[in-house]
Amino acid sequence: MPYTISLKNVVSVVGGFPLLAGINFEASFGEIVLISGPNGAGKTSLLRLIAGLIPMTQGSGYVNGLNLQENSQEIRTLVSYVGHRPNMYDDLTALENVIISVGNSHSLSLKVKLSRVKTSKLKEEIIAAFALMGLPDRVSSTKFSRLSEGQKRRVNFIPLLIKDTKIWLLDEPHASIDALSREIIDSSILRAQERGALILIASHELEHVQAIATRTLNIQGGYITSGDQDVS
Amino acid sequence: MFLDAWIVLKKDLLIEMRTRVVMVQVLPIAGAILIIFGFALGPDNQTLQKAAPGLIWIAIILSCLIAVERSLSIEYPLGRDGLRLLNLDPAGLFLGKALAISIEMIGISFLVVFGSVTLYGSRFNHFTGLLMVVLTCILGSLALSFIGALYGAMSLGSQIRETLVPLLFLPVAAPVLLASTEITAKYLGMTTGSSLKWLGVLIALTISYFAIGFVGFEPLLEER
Repeated sequence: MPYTISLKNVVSVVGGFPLLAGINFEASFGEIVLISGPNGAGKTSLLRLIAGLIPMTQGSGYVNGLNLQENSQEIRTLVSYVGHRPNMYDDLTALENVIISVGNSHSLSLKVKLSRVKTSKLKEEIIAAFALMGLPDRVSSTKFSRLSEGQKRRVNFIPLLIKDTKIWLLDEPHASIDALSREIIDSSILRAQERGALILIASHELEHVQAIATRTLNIQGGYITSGDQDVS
Repeated sequence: MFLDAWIVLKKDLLIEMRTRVVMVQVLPIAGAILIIFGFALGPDNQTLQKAAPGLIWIAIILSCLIAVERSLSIEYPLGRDGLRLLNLDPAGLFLGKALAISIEMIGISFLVVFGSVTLYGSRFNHFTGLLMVVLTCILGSLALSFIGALYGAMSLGSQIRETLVPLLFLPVAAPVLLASTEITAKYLGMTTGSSLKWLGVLIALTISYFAIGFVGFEPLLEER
């Protein structure tokens, strides 16, 4: 069976600075892979490369059969990427932010843009997702900037639940959150895995993430130093 | 593309309606520029009226620079990554950002012209003159907004964006300043002769800046 993600000797250089220095990595649907390593090792860069956000300078890389060099824009529609900071608009409400985030994914664009009936159905789905993430009703109509850090992180997760993409790329999803938020986020990750999604988690919280991960790989200086697969 | 542009336009205007940054901060700055130039040039009405067309457009360009900065700052929490992951058509994103800035700037430019009439005693030479100044405000605001939105994308990932945007924006805004000032001067009775060639220049600049932004926005948003 072909791998969902397949990287062979991948090098990424941005602005003359090498971010990844020869990555070999393969992963399939249904896995939860913990990417560990010190600060500046290349964990975030690896996730951003797979999300089609930074260029692949050398090597060969495929995400769900799409070439990273040629199809980065298509790849962005297939993956859900959550950065280490919540990336939403401060002056919009949580609900408005989620609608903007999911409304432009290809799978939902017609729903949101062209059909008012379906849009309101989508709104219901989003409200249900707020409840699933343990967020009270009032949070959806609160300005994003007024939410607590844990609430922001949970709201940031909602587009992943709605878009239903099969590849999740999570950068430090457990940073700055309380035990309840952790539990809720972990449940979402495990539910996605049950649906057959591939989830890559870059984290410093090894003990915690190892408990849900199917395997771990270590990255240092832009190389995978352990846990990689032999692709030679 | 147009639907994506509509989403971005609506989002930016919604944020402006909630925060009122352009209304409460940019507009008073435009007014302050007119007043400060009034002090610098002295109380002589004739001098003020003669300088008014240029001062109007200097006030509009400097206000636009701040409006562009504001439009950029809305996107900081998302950054380049967040914007690209929204999976919007880059041309739609450009158009939406530029139109949001231009709607704000058209409003500001009308108020700046009104400020010039009030503070400097500027007068339109006839009703057509008023319409031509309105048209100039619309075209000038569009041209400035197109180039502002483009440079905004260029500087989004930059650590020196606060200084980079003015550095890039002002030289490209200079032809708009020149053409708009000439047309405004003609219809405020400060110059004679036809302004049609300047109107042609302004239309050409607006179309060119739109085309450059339309084509250039996507590559500027990508990391190299």
